[in-house]
Amino acid sequence: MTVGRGLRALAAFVRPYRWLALLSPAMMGVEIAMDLSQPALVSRLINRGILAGDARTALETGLWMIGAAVAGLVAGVLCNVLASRVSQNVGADIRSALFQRTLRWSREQIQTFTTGSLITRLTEDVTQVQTLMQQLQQGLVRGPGLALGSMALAVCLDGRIGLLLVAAAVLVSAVLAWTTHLSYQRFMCAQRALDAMNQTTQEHLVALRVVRALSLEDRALARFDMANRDYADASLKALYILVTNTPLLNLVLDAAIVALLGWGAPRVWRGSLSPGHLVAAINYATQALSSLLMSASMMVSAAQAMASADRIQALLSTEPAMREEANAKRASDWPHVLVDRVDYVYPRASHPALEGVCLEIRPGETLGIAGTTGSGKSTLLALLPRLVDPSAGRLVWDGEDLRALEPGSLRQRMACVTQQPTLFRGTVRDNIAFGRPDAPHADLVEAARIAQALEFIERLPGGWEAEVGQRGATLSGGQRQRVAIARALASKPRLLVLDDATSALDTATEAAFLRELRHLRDMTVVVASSRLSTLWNCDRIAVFDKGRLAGVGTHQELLASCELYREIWDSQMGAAWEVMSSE
Amino acid sequence: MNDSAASRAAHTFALPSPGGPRQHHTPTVRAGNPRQTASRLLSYLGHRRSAFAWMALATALSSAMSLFAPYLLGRAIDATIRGHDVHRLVALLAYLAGAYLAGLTAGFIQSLIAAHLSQDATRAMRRDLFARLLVLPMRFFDAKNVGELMSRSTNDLANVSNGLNQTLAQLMASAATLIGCMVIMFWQSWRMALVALAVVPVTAGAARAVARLTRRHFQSLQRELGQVNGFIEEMITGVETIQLFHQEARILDAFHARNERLRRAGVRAQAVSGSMGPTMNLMRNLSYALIALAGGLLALHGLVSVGTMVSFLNYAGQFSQPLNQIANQYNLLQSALAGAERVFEILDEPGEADPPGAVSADEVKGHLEFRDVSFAYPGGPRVLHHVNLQARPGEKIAIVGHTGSGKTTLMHLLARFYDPDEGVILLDGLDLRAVAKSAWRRKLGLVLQEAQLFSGTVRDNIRIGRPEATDDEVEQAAVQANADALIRRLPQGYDTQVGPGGAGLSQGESQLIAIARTLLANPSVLVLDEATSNVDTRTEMRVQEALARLMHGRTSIIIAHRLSTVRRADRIYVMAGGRIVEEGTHEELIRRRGAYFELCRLQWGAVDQEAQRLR
Repeated sequence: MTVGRGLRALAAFVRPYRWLALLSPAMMGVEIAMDLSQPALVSRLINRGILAGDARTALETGLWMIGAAVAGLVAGVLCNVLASRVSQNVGADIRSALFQRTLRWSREQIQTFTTGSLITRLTEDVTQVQTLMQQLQQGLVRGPGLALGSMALAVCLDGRIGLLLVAAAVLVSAVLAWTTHLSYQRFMCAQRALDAMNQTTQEHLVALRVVRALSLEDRALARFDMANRDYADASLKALYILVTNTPLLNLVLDAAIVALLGWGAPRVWRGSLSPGHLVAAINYATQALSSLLMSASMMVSAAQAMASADRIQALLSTEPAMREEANAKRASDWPHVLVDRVDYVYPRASHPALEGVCLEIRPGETLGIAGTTGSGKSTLLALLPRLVDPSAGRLVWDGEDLRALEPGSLRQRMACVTQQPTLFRGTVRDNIAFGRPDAPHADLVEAARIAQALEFIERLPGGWEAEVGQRGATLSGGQRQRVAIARALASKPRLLVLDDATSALDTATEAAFLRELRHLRDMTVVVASSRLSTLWNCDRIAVFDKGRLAGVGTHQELLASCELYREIWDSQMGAAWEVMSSE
Repeated sequence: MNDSAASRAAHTFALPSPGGPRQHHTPTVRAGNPRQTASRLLSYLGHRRSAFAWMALATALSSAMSLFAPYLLGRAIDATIRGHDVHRLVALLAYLAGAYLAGLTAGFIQSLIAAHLSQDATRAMRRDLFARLLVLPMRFFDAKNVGELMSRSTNDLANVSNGLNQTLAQLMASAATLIGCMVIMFWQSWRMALVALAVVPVTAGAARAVARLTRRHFQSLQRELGQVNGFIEEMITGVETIQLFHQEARILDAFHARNERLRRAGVRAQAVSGSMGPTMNLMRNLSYALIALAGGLLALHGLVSVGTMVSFLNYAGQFSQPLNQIANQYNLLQSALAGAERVFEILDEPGEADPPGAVSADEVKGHLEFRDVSFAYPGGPRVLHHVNLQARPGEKIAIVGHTGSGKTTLMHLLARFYDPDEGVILLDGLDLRAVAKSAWRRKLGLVLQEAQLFSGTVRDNIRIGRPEATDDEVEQAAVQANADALIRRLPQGYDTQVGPGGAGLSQGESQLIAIARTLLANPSVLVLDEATSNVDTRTEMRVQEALARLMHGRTSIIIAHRLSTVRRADRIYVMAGGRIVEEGTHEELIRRRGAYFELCRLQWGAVDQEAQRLR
């Protein structure tokens, strides 16, 4: 773990609040001083009050102690309020910076981090760092502060007692450093065992029907038992450290107290140490060592928070890959696209997903993209709105290289619908108007009508104002796809890109939609599907095979000229029957 | 867990420590029926009586020592002040060292036993939970998201484990210390005891007030945090959509609004909850000061000794600590009980069971009949209406229809994930409900759209079909399923790890292995849900060929998506809206020009030639 690098990067976020961030530990210093004054005052009360028989001094000292306690409260509360302001503001600023950055990342960058990990970093990791910020001004100042202060006072009180205390503190710190390190490691082990156990559970529960159908219950339970035992063992191993830690540290502390007494009493008898000082020394010993122990327990969570800070820093140091050229032009509204000798290789992939693809998208046409899973259809479609840029070759929009255009203006010219579109929490209307929030209602209705969504929307409880839930959870797969299509149409694109966007529609609904689409004269459509029944009516069809273009033409032309097209057609439409029956 | 280590350490410490440890204060969720849940939770620990007894003994010893040590310390200080008595001092120090050593040894034993007990108990609970989930009827899972169910259970069990580990011994210890402390204080000096106790109600009142404020502010913080985190999750998941529609600026504005609310709620909640520390610190310092003041004045009048006063300074710390700890442990216990209650709720769900006298299906001929079957998923509308359907031994039956027409439900009923609400399914003339579920499922081969492989080797996965099969038989089945060649090309052949985290197989390849698994199991009846999406054409051919072998001689019910499969069937049932609307062979149905004809035209487009051919 590179402790500190992440924290240094976060220091920039503290800068706007630096005065508060300095003031709150200072307040903590006051609180510590007030706490530390208590044993010193008790010592004074014993020596000058009780033993000297001076009731007035005793009373005065007692009142001073109460005053110190109250002053400590004021300082403590102030410290907390200031630290809260700093930590919560820093947390909010970090969250905001991360969110802003993530919105500008390319698909590749998001996939490198994975969506799940991005969400964790923006939520849990930020919370962790926020807590750490609070601790850095409060708890992590208080523990070591009390320990150092106690030792310093003990040294002032009596040099030799102080040295004994420092020796004990060094020993305690060494033990703590070692056990903290060890327990962090063992908790990580336990965490891994837990992940493995959860994976086993997940695997069997997700496929529970199969488990039942194959009568796999016993096997599943045996597997789970194994993972469960591993996890329990790993947890115990981690707990052993904690269980041993406490008695070990108490041993040092208790030994220090006995030593203080055994060593101090003869000096009291000789008159070189006052009884009050001995009591104070014992107080300081307890204070110093128990404060160290407290800091140790915070160190484990601080170490986790450091790891969080590192993960956040990794996001902050990743610049959006897609830069806008300084002299970028706005995309024209003439949707003529040339795909010019394009290769695309996914990061860390050994084979290109697209290789030497040349294709023209003509204004006004409906172009079908056919091919099996993994043939490169979706990759090609992701190039159009520059979700990814080609590894080699270029795409040209009305004579301009796509990379010379403002990505925003390009994306305003087109609309894309994928197989599993993302809807957002909100009403059906919010979702359909997503790309054009100011669209008049009539436009939304028209878009919904073409997308075959109007009928079901009007039947929803609440109609256009019905809530769709997170990711459109209250809608069926087919309804989600139709809302997504309506959303795309409502943004009035010149180029509509449909990537298997009708896969969950039944064939009649799909046919009706495609029929409506053909009536839209001023829209160019690119539609990819693995079902040839979706495509065979297109103006032209481009067939992809393992990243290469295997043929372009009309349905009839391809049946005559493209062997792969014929094969897919036969396998979907039934000629496989002849092959099978000849067996 | 670390908090507990520190607080445990703190409570065995022997001397007063003004402003010592400070705990974070967060509100908790409570169980609905704590008493019943607690006794059930204890039953998970109950079989370890002797361990319990040892732990109680260790706890008692450790608590006693933590009270005895400050007393000895006070005497040692008195001895120091009173005069030169080396023997007395040495003796007192030896006792003190002995008390410390006994206390920390007992404490060690106590936490060791607690760790073992809590881990054993939660491990047993995890096992019971998983075993229960395996046998719960499918309708239990319909309403739930598996991921959510899992994370909830993991979380609940973590709370149980945490709670048990930290409260088992310590609640006892805290209570013992508290009571012991009081007894000793009164025994040593009732005047001083009253002074020490005077602060308790003030402390309790202050803690309650802060806790109540905290709870309110934390609720609004949790709400805002939930809003922001939900928003982040939703928008990061949909970031591509936002980019495609060029809505980054609008979404960022919406985020800022939520983030601002969270910022304000966060500052408020933290400022309030964080004041618990300084408040408790004030109370400790105040009681410390009061004891010193009162003790000092009493000592001046010779009513107490300086040593007694020092002991009391000690006890004051000891006294306030268990009070705080009991409050903390009470909260931990509450979340543990709430977690346990939710786990027990699942354990109490009735599992799938066979009626008494269920017969095993040894000799299955494979004659299946749906007689007037109707069905609705729990809480849902009726999805099957009076379905009549028949498959004679060895026949291939195709079921076709749009999505949502009820095809998959038929399959669920056949596999007995559910039973019909009305009507019966007959197997060789016998009500299927009278057949033991597991026996029937062994006779039934189920091939789903997406083949499910389990983590393990390829060999394991094929052998799942018949665990006692030899390697030879496994490989035979793979050859039959057209999977042998592909398996041999894998890095470790039949011993290659597959499933989650294993070798990546394509959908078609997994399908072939699943077919080998089914072939090896040698079922009498086959239910097949054809894959809709096209795998690559050549693998597809191999899958079709393997399926043809699998169906040979077996009663097969196929949810068909391909024209080729339908044409091959002995009989086709057309479903629409949960009803069977047509039945017959491909030729008959095409000639009829009804629902089937329309379906073919829409689904496969190419029916015109077909119609011509049959004219």
